[in-house]
Amino acid sequence: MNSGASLSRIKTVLKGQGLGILATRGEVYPYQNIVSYSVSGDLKTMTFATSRASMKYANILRCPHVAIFVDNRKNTEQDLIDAVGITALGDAKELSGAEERRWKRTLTARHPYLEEFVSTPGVALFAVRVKVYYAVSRFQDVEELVMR
Amino acid sequence: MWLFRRLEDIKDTDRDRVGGKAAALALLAKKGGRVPPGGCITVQAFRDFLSFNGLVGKIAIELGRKELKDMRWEEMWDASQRIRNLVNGGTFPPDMLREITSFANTLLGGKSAAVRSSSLSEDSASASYAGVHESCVDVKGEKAVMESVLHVWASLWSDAALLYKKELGFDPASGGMAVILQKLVRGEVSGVVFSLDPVRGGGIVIEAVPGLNKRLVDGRTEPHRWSVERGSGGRISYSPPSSSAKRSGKKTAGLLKAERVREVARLALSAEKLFRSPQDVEWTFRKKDLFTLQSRPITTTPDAGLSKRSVFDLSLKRSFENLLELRRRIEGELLPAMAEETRRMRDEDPDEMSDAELAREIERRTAVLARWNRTYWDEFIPYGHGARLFGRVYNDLVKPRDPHEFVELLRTGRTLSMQRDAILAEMSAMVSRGKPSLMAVRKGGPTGAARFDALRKRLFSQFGMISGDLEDHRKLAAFLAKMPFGPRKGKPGGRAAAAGLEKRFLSRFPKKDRRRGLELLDLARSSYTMRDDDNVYLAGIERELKKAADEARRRKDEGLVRGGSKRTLSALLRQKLVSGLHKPPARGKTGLARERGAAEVRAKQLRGQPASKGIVRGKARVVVDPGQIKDLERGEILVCDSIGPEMTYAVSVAGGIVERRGGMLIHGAIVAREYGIPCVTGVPDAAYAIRTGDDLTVDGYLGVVTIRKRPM
Repeated sequence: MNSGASLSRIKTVLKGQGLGILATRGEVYPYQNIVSYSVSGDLKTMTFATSRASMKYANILRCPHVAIFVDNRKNTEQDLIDAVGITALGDAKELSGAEERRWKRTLTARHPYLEEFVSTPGVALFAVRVKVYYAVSRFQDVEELVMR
Repeated sequence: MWLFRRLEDIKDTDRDRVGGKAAALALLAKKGGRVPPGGCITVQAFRDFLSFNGLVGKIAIELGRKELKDMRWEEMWDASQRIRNLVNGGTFPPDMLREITSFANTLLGGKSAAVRSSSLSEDSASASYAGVHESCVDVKGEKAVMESVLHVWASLWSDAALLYKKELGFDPASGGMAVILQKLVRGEVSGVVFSLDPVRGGGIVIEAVPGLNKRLVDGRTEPHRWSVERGSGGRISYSPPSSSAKRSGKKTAGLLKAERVREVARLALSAEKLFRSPQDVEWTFRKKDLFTLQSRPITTTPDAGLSKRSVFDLSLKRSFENLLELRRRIEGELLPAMAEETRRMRDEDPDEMSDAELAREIERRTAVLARWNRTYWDEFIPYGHGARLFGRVYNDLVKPRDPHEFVELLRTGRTLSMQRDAILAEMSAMVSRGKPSLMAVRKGGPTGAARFDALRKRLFSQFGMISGDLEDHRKLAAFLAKMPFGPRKGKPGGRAAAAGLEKRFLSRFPKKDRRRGLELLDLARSSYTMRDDDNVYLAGIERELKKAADEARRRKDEGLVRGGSKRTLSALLRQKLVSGLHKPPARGKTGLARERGAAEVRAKQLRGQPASKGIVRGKARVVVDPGQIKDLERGEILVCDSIGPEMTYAVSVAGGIVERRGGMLIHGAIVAREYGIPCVTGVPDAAYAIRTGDDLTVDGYLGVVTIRKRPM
């Protein structure tokens, strides 16, 4: 498998979309939410923000292993062939200090409407260090991309 | 896609690019009308600006806080200010800025401009949106012109526009705004003409004022009026403004001669013919030339399509002069009269009245309360607009990041409820030292601590509302024991911060106008304080009525009244106003926590408006009946429909506040900010979606309430 081509395809989907589904581990069941994310150029880091009062925040504190799913489907039958679904697996870490400021800039550059939200004291910024991507296309083609 | 068009280049098919008003002006000019030279900044420019500044999402978030149909006007005003701040804080894309300023400089040549709204939905046959969007007249200088463009764009979401959209069922996020930029024609006489009398039908109606017609449009100057029969040479009748008629005693005036009145009437008829519907035309005379400033279809009245409540809400917006007059009346006449009325009632003890006297007294007190309730709505509530007026001026001048920063400047720490809470604090501190003992407080009568007794007397006599529950000395003792260290002090650090903001605000005025800034600030502080104090005053009167009704109920329950008096007292106690004093308010729907077939739907996170900054976690105390407020424990989150006058004494012990009623300037929000308590208002069904004992987080920055856990 050509890792350069996979990387490029994953990048196209991740950069083309702005919202993804974040999955966290609840006490018993998984828990999912839509989040606005940004992704670094090397695809190693994804960032998102959430209120510290939220369920996902409590879940991540308990267990930092998360998944983020992003796809480009258009809700037509053609999606079965054309749509690509990307799952990123990794560990989420709450950011602070210079790191937080840097990633906040990246996130708000991609999502300007989040400026006020991420500036309020009750909101935490997370970076997910991605360990592996799974890309599913053409219904059942699955690729795995392990990040180093 | 073009961003700018000269009026003469606009075609009939451009309406969805330039809006209704610009399209009408262009057509008038094309057909030979005398229209001031100018051009139009298109809807595309507006959309590009929003995109360039990332405002599409931000405005969507703002408008998505709550469905428009569930929003009160106060909440719309708050939302419109937040959006106005977002737009005012934006920057123009460089190419757009170059294009507009280059045209403006050539057109104006250093002279003044008129900057007018031309929204896509404006001036259509079904909705005129008259006066809903902003227009800025006599704007001088490149910077001021560009700022005016921003104001006009932001007015697509003005409080009045949102109210219209709510009532007409339009999507608040829809629409677009173009801006007309014209050379200002400084006419000697200006006005409006209706080609068909909008009230009575039939003739043509002309209104005129000396100078620019801004003062006519915003209602500051009473106009001269003429009625003209339709058709050439029609009969003219004239009505002078009431003030000038009284002054001069004249029945006619020379503001417009008959020949000019006819010329204006002809203008209206030709506009009507051109647009094929009755028109409302703004015009001005400069020397001999009659200019058309705008023409739009007549809707029956400026408030057509709005409910009575919405018309009332919009009437709350008052001018500075009007508010000064209101202040003089409230402080000089109404409050002293209220205090005197309360004192007189207090001096007449219902216990000592005969049954017939008591019945008459209940009737009298009911009428007194009804009268002051009307005053509350007619004078006190509109006076609250002083704080809003200040907020708008502050935001336009200072351009703060937080559009509600101005509220920090209005906090005085001198509201009546804070004075009352200071008394409670001192009393609770004395009780915590054992002087007097709780036992002595419970018993009533002299406690042996003279200072305590004096404070208690002042508490009951000056702050009527509190004694509703605490007159019962045992309840007072329980309340004081609950707060052994006294209620919280006012928000720390506020004074220094406010001084900084005041300096910043005043520095935006040229030195010669600084006094005007100070006057506005002073008015706003008084208006803001009054928003809390009016409840205390009104509650004093309500308490005296309650005393009389309680006495009647006691006599009736104990079988002490006979004959006609019994029937009268029973009838009086059944009256809505009197019986309402003793019953909890009707329960609203329990919408967010209910059974739906096999599933139970429960709220987990609720969104409202951030009303006082801070984040707090605590147990919920839901208060449906004001009497339940006594159960509030220190640090609990008070959850209620709205904080009534009889509840505010206990608010200072709350850790956080969640209210269904929304707005930055409602009582709950004011008290919360005075004490620095995190507060979220405008949470739909708050008191029913949340249960006492729920573990809540209140985020007063974001306006979000999270139900973390429910007790089993």
